[in-house]
Amino acid sequence: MKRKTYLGQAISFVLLIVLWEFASRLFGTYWFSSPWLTLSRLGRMIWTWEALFHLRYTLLEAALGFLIGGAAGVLLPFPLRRYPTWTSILDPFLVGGYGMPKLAIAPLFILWFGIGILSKVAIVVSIVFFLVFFTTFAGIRSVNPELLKVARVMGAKERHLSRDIVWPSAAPYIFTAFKIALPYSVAAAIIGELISSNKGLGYFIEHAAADFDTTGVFVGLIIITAVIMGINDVVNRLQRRALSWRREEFEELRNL
Amino acid sequence: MSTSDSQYELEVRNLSKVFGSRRDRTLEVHALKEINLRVKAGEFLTILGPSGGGKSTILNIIAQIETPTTGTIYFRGREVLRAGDVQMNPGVNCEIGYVTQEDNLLPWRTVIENIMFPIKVQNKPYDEYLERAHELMGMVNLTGFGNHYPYELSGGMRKRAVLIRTLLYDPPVILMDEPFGPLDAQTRTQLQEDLLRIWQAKRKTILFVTHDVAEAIVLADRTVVLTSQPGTVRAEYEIAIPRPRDVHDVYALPGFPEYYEKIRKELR
Repeated sequence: MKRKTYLGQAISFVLLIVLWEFASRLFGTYWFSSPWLTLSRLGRMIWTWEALFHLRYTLLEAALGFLIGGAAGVLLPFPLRRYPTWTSILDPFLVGGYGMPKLAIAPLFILWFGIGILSKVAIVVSIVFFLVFFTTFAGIRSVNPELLKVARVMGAKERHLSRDIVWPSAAPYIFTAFKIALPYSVAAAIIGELISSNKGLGYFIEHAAADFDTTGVFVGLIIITAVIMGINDVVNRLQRRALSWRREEFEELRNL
Repeated sequence: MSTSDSQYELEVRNLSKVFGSRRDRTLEVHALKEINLRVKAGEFLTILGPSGGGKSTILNIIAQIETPTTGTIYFRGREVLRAGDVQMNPGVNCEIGYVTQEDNLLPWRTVIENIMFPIKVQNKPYDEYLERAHELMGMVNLTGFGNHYPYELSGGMRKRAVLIRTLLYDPPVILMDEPFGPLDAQTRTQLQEDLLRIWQAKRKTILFVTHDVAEAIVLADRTVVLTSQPGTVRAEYEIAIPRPRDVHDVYALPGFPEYYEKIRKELR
């Protein structure tokens, strides 16, 4: 079963490359670059450390924004659970903040925090926070109230309920939130860089596009995609380990 | 605060519960009406009634996870809950244990962690109780399953784990709400036997809710038959069948068929 999947994926990958090569021959490398041009440029960029130079900035912005926004998004719902009034008061503001297009406030962040790292971190925070907050909150609401009641009867205090029941119930949701938010945080950092920056992968792509350097754009996109896929893989592994108590996860592990 | 005759371990006086609709009084449901129960220390009381008859509500109110509309509850002569109390005390300082219909094991904790959960939150000496936990697990054939997660256990084993979780921290009163309901007949009988054996050894006061007439008789010192909507006490029977009783062959128990006939008729 697993082998068939890998084989299918390999064939699809080769087909995609063939299609790309075909398109570049049909329309010219000016529009589509070509697999070989892109690969050799990628190799050169890695060799000269240029790729790492830009990647470093993008990842730093994404990581900082993810940590700050993610921590706030995970922690805030826990006290709110115990104070429903606060939740109702804050609700429209949070929904508004979630709905506001972050791309539209990006220029404001650049105005406030400059074109350096800080403005991109702010953009990432503004996206990650709301994603994680709402998903975590949904997780906290999914807690089986019977478990809480029975635990109270057995003498559990609020802190036990939070730590031993609410937190583990919300954990699958929190992981899902992280899984969604991680690629978003990289994407958000890049969007910030596209708008205004002097380093980072977004800047690199923007710069290449301005020079009509299609190969450069493709290389940038490939690096970003590879990084995001790598991040996803790490999160999936962590999730499987942390949630091994869940039946579905357990059976999935068994079938591997 | 009033007191009551302290010869009773648990006393329920004039308990009513109305599930209301604030907007429309005609939608009110009278689940319980003027229920009075007196339970002696060490008594095994079964509460028998039709499904949806408010049996669970009685236990929920005694466990203080639901509020009564009227009535007072006394534990060892001390008033522990009165209708209108704002602050509830679920479990009455761990004096009243509750085995609910659902398993309610924490799915992210192993069996032994689940059984030890009340010990941990009550700050009792962990190692000492761990030893007793293993003893109890041995009594109900759970030895060797301590490190399994609940989903890896059968329904019957989960019930045993839930039972032990409450027995271990030793509340003098234990409420049980159709704990063996969803099990197959054979597992059910086995669990009834386990429960009786443990009860005979530890002499807990047990209030056991069921809709199964045979179960209500075979376990009980006394059984209370409820009517439904509103739930009121319809009849009460002392079950004078000598113990120990063989739960595998209930019809051979002296007097069982007569009790069964009489009580079954009450339920109609």
